[in-house]
Amino acid sequence: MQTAQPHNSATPSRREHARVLVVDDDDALREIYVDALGGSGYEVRGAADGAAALHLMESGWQPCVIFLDLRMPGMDGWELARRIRSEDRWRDIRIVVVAAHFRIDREAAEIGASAWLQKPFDLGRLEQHARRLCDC
Amino acid sequence: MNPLDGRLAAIFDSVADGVTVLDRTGHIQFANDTAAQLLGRQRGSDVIGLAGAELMAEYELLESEGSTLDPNLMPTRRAFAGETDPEQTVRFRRRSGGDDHWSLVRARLLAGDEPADDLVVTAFQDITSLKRSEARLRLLAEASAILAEPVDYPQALQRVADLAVPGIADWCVVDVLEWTRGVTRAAIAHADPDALDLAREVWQRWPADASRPGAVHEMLARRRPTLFAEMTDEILQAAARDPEHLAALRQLGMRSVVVVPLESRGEMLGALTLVHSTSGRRFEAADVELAAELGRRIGAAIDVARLVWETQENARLRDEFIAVASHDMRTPLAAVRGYAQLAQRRLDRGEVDPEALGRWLRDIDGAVDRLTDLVSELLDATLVRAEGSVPLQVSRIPLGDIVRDAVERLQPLAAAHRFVVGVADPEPVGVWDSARLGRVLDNILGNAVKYSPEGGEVRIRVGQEDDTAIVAVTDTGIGIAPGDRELIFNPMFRGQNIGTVAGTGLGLAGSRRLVGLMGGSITVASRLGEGSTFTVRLPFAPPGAETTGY
Repeated sequence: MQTAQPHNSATPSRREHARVLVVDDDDALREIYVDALGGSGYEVRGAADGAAALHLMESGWQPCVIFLDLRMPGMDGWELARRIRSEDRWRDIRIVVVAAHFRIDREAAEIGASAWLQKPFDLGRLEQHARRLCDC
Repeated sequence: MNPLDGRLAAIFDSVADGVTVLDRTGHIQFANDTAAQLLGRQRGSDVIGLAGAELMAEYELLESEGSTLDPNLMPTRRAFAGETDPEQTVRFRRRSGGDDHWSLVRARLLAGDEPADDLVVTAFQDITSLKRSEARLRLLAEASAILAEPVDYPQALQRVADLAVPGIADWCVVDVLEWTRGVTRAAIAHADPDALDLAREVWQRWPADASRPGAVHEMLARRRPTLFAEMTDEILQAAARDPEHLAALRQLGMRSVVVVPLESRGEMLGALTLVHSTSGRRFEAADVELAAELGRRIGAAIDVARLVWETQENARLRDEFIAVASHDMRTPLAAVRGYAQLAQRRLDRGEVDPEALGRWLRDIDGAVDRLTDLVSELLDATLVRAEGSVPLQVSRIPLGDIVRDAVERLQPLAAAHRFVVGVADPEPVGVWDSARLGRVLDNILGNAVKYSPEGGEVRIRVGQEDDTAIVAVTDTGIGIAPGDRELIFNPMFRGQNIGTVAGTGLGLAGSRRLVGLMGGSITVASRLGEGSTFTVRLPFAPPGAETTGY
């Protein structure tokens, strides 16, 4: 992982094209994460569950990274990850697990995530992961 | 003339040992009454003149521990062969059945003028009770060793049952009562492998039941070891649950039965049953004492196993609870931190939007409320078994409001269920801890949903009986077996609810305790397959409310 940098030192031109998806059933957290990433120049969308995220991607809006909660009503994060991994066209999409429960590290590894963030965390960490996974 | 002549027979009849005198042809020249009785006759005169070997043919001659004894080792033969004062412990087993007897047999040659005139006098000292005591002590020692091993309990109980057979009994059954969860149900052993199958079948098909007639029931009712020295058909008839059961019991051929409690710290944990059947043996007082002691040792071992299991189970539940609780707390914490950081960033950039800031602060406040509730729930649930009181936060409130709030919380999570709330008029209004009562209702309503089919109806009746306010929750669910109706309030059962019912993990044990703190009670009525009704009864003010100024 890269070391922390002030967010204005990155390259805005790259970021304008970088799409980031936040999937979390908690309205407040989704708003916070979308707002934080949007403020750093990413094109950010939010989805309240796996089905909404899938619908968005099916319509052609493909993110480079998904910040994904696992426990959600309806289609949960595990199922969404499985669907993404089963589609060749989505193989470049990176997943960062964002969750509150124990053993998040093991669960992140199991679904093939690139990283994990355990709630609560510093919002700067969202941007670090987005920058590392989208700008390379 | 010697004054003893003619009185020798009477003298020999008065000694405790059996005494015989044989000649070289093997015929009995003399036997006292004791010897005749050892040989299954009454008087010494009954056997005089008979061939010793013929009388002995009625018996199997065994070594002390049960292996076949070489007849040439019998002291009488050895004395005739010239050995000086031979002796041998002999175990006599009547071929027609009955208890084994042990004798210490000693013989001495009384040489005649001619070898043909030689006689051998043989003394039989009955050491049966000594041998039985030895066997009992050995059994207890071996059983204690097995029960002290940290093995799994099905195995230990089976090994103890095996130990008792065939030395102490023809078969042995260990029944552990159902309320001692976490311990195996039982074990069975039988001396005869064919009979074992039948005994096991009967035992599994008509398991010992504390609430039904039978030897186990009788013993449990008396809480004392119970001896059926002679099993009669009347006893079987009284114990049989149906004609088929009676036929099976008769087929088992029980002759003599001892049932003793498995007890520890005054609590009945089960029963140990010893049966004599084909061997024709009968239990006596010493066997009952042995069985009772064995029962105490098994009881203590079960108790230890149960405590270990409970401790492990509690640790597991605690870990699970902590995992769930920390998950539930991290989400509002993430919101608090997130809004605080968003606000800080806006301030840093000089972009203060009072409308957004106000909303974020309200959301932070809401998240802190959720956290506070979670901390209260955590305390309520983890203090389930702690002594001392948790301070109530009471206020005057209509009971219907608390119920309607709980239904509102649950309805989105149970869209397929219908809730019907009926509130009496006038509505009961009292001084209650609405947050805790709400959690109790969350739990009861959550269970009603969880254990009833989708589309089911949950009826909630709010009313009053005399000085008591009542909430009754009736579902159309699977119901609760009679034996489980008290168990479900046991903290050990808490685990099933954790993490599934509205995230509280409070369970019925916690609910009952909270209601108890408010001076009330929770009871349950149920019909299997039809549904259950949980009834919460509450005084209109908590105990001591008058004196503390509520």
